[in-house]
Amino acid sequence: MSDKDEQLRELFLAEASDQYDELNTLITRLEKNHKDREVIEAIFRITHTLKANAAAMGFDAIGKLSHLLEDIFSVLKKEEMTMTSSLCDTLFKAIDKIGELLEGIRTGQKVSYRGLQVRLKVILEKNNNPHKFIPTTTTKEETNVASQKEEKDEKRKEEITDVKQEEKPPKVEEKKISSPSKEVKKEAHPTASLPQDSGTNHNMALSDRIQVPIDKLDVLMNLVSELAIEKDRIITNSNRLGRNEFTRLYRITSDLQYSVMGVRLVQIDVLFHKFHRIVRDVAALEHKEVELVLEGTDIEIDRNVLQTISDSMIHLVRNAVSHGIEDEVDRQKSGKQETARITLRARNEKEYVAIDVEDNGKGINPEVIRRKAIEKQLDPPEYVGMLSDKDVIKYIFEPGFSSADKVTAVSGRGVGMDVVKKGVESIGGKVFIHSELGKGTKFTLLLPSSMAVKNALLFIVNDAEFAIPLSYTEAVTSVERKQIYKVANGLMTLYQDRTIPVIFLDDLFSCEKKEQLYHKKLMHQSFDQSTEVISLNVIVVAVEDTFVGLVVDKLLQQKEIIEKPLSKPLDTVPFVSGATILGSGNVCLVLDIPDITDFLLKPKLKMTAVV
Amino acid sequence: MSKRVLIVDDSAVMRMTIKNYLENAGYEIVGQASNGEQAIDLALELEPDVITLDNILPDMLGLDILKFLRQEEEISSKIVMVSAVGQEAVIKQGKELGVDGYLVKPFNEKDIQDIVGAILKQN
Repeated sequence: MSDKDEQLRELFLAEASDQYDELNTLITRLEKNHKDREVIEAIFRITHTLKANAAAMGFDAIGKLSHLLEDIFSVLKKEEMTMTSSLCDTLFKAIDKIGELLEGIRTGQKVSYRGLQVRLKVILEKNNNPHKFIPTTTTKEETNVASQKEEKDEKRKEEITDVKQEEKPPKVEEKKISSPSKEVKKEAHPTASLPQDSGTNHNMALSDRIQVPIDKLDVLMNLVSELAIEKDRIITNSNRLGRNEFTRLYRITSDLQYSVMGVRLVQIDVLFHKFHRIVRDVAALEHKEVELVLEGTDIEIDRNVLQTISDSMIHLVRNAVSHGIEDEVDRQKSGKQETARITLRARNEKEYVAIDVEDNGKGINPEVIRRKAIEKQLDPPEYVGMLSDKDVIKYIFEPGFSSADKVTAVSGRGVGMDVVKKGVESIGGKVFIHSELGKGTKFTLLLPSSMAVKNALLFIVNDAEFAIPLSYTEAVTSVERKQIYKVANGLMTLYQDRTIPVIFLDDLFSCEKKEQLYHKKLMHQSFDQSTEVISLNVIVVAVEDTFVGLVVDKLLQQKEIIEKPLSKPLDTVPFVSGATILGSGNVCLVLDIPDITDFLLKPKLKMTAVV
Repeated sequence: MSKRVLIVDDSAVMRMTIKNYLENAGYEIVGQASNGEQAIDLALELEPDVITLDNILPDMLGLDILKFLRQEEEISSKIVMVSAVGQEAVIKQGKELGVDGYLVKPFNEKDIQDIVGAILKQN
């Protein structure tokens, strides 16, 4: 395939998947209101365009299916057919099939579609001739695989002639039936009546938007990142020339970086509106009535961030429908008048984008979680018993917690909430949960609006530079050594009247084997050796509402960094999420703060994982 | 090699019955479909030697399937229509569309074995 063909194919696929998404949304709307003319018109237009595009590209299957859909909607448009729930189901199936076929084009996999094609055809024929099955009189020789449109129309006419001879239906109807495709063309929306036989009607106005494959943007982003690093290096090395020499370079690279980041932003609606269909499907499966509300759909976020969290979102939404929302009987029992509702809400929160997945269902019962955590031996019962309700609920994020004792078609996909959490954290985001028994549950994903650049705090431990994402740093403070106390195997100090655990990062980093991490005296080593020091530099980090103090040798600066994940086999190194290159050319490791606090606060859990 | 059969019927009991009868006579059942959509996809994918085709299916008529397979696909499979007593019109239309044999419900083991055996000998 030539480059041009390849490009054209990509363009077709991009446009077709948009159309596929749109069809899903529209049919979901149509299912709620069978008579929505606006929606019927819109679907008709889209199927018309899709048909023409697919035919032009030689994708027969998609062309045929969308042609049939177009025919069906042209009949619906003229109110010669009534919309029913069962018709809706078939339409959904047809859209699914188009989705499969599109996927098939990408992967080269064969997708069977003829069955559905006939099914749609039969729906049309039954509607035209409701009372009788009419065999055609065409012989085998005349019927040529039927890709030619004219032939099809011929055939249709012949069928109708048969009707005249055999049944004589009312005259008016006959006329309407006999030329559906022609009438459609007259009525069709001017923008939709494009190709089919393009050549006569050239429209030279090009769209003021272009579609760019994401990998090209990735390359661009990488180059800009390297440029930013190089800029830092040059500026650092050329202090003698004076900073003023570089102000322009500094400003231009910075503007360039932000422009490229801006190009990668998409409105969150591109993800949100896919959920109409998902909610509809799961709700139908579970026999529930659920309404989906979308808020803040115009909030912008990096496309790759959105891609990374899309699986997590699907899981949360499916969960909300199948577990969050109670069945109708229970809803009535608890006196809930309102319809079951799931809200997807996006909003800007400082440099982050927050996404809420909220349901007004039954909420999570902390007692059930407590029991299950003990049953599954995630932690000793005494420990679980001590936790507040709010903390107990967090067990749902533990690996092995949601290993489904309720496997349903919906939730039995082998994905647990731990995967949701991992997915979100992998891009530097966080997950919060808020649940009120009887009222509902809300998950909040706090996401960076861009994957590339992070604000970070740089510091030195044992002569090496490290970085912590600023999103985790609560405060930087100086603590007198005498205010740090040994408590059991660890260290504690006071921070704003709170007792917080303290750790010398050097103690963690000096371990050579995993077992050493669990040595009783580990946390006291540096503290015991630092007797002559009066005050210590402490970075207070916060994960959710837990504070931990990290003792470092020297604080450097706050800086925008471009974090790259570590490649194999280094990607399994604990406590490190990635690395960045500094202006000096040195590699600087970025610390994985949740991993460190997890290690400190859940030592028992980690112990069992190591053994 | 034993002949390959696709059974199309929306009733699981009927599918099982036909399967047992035909397997007793040494046929291989390569597929079973409970609706028209499946039937067409399987027929095109498997290209069986024989298709037994019930007329009343949830999403379309057996005649619709017959018409499609004969007129648009020109599939080489032999097709046996299965219909209930009193639907002689169906048989008539089936003939016009090129059905190879038909079977009226209720039928017994020998009936179906005979008709399938007979249409396979037609070549």
